[in-house]
Amino acid sequence: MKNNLIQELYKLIHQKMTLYGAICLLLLMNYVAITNSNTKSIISQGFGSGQWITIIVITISSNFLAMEYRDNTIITLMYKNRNKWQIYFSKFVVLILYTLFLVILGFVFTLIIKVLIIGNRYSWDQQTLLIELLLNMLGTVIYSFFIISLELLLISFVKVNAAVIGIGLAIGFFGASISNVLLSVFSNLNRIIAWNPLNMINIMNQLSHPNYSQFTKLTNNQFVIGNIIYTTLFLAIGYFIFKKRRV
Amino acid sequence: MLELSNVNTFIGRRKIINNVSFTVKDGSVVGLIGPNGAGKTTIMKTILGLTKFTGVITLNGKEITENNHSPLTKVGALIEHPAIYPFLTGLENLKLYSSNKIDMMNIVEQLKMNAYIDLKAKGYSLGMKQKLGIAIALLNKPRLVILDEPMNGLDIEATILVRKIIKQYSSSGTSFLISSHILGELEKVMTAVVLISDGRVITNCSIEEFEKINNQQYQLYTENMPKTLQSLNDYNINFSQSSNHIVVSRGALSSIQKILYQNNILLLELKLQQPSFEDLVVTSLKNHRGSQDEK
Repeated sequence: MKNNLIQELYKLIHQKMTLYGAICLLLLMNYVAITNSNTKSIISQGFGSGQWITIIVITISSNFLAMEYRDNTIITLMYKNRNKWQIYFSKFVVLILYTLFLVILGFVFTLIIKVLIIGNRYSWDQQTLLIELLLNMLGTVIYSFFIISLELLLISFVKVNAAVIGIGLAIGFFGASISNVLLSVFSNLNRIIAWNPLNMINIMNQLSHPNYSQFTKLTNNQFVIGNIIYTTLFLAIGYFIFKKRRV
Repeated sequence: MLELSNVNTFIGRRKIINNVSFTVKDGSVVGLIGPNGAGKTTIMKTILGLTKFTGVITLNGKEITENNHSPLTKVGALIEHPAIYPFLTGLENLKLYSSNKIDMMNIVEQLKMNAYIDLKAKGYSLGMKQKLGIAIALLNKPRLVILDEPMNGLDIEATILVRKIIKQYSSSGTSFLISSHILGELEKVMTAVVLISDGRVITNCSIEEFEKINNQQYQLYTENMPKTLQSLNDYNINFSQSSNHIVVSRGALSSIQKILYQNNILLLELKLQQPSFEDLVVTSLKNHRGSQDEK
């Protein structure tokens, strides 16, 4: 497993996409900082870093597995490994590590952009601002478990990289809205519908604002549990499909 | 030593490989030959534990299954297309799998890849990629190397180089299982042949035996060829025509001599035909198809 992780990390680091992802994050955060009236809320969201990181991770995740089939390297990967789970799981772990890297980068960029563009208008001394930012970052990390496991499942199943990225982005952009509509339409079934996978993205904002639970119908703890359960489920189904897929 | 015993491979519910058994002894170079779609690549993938199969495959006594690849640690392979990450350089591709830097650099040297090994693989030509694929298969001093069409895209110099390397590795005990459509090239390195058709092994023997079994054709020339052809046709003797000769099987020689004698035809020339290896393979496949049709 250690060898697998080293190999996957080696591949990730040597891909230009990895660097482009980080550059994109910086540019998009700057874009938010420049084009918005910078409120405390924008800063606590790390200039939109949560949503940008999710989009970047969606794009990179499916390609990270799809490339093995495209370049025929899946054969070498498969026969050189004792079992297929090590291949699948090490990809998941390395993508989580990449998300952590982006989150740390997003945090550092937030500090820099605030100094350069906003100045002293909102002070970090107001501890809530820093805590909100950190909680939003934590939400992004937890949601990345969900979205990465889903992307790996989808690429194992659908096999078309563009389609998988499209589905991932659709969930990222419209998932929360669709979930909110479902919750309002079937208000008598809220206790069940609240656990739908599209609702899970709301963890990114709710950790810092527990009162959002009146709209999402799940508490912070329930969100954490929900994301973990879906991640486990997606990993299990995704691995099963990956294992059965012909090479 | 690699041993396949009654191996059946399935793709979905369809049986692609049918009861295949053969061995690859240490240091031998086995040519896996057959027409397109015969199942060569599938057999190779099955050996690498990449497909669902029944039967037993062992490498040095250890069983390989779809879920247990541990006996494959000393196996190298190039299947279909070279497995290369285009965003890595040639050397980085090798480093990904190499456990011995000196061995890795030796292979680079042997395959004469120094000039481009530090360039990104996405810019490589077909031949360069093929060499890199072969280099990956040869990493870490493998006991068995499986090569699927290794000469694809290689120029004549590279082909000779690869042939030399195969001989060198096999003389130090590495076994090879190679499939290739360039039979003339394969003939120069292989020590045994496994001929397959429709997923079944139809010949499995040493190269010498193979040539002996199939080298049974004779060229015949008489003083009156039209009359000879007519007579052989009358007696339903199988033959083929080749320029001014006719080609007959060894088994039919005694009957033919009697027919010629009865028809007062003077035999001018009778000699053993020396067919190429390609001809032998084609004949062998034709004979197999013929016997299948009869069934």
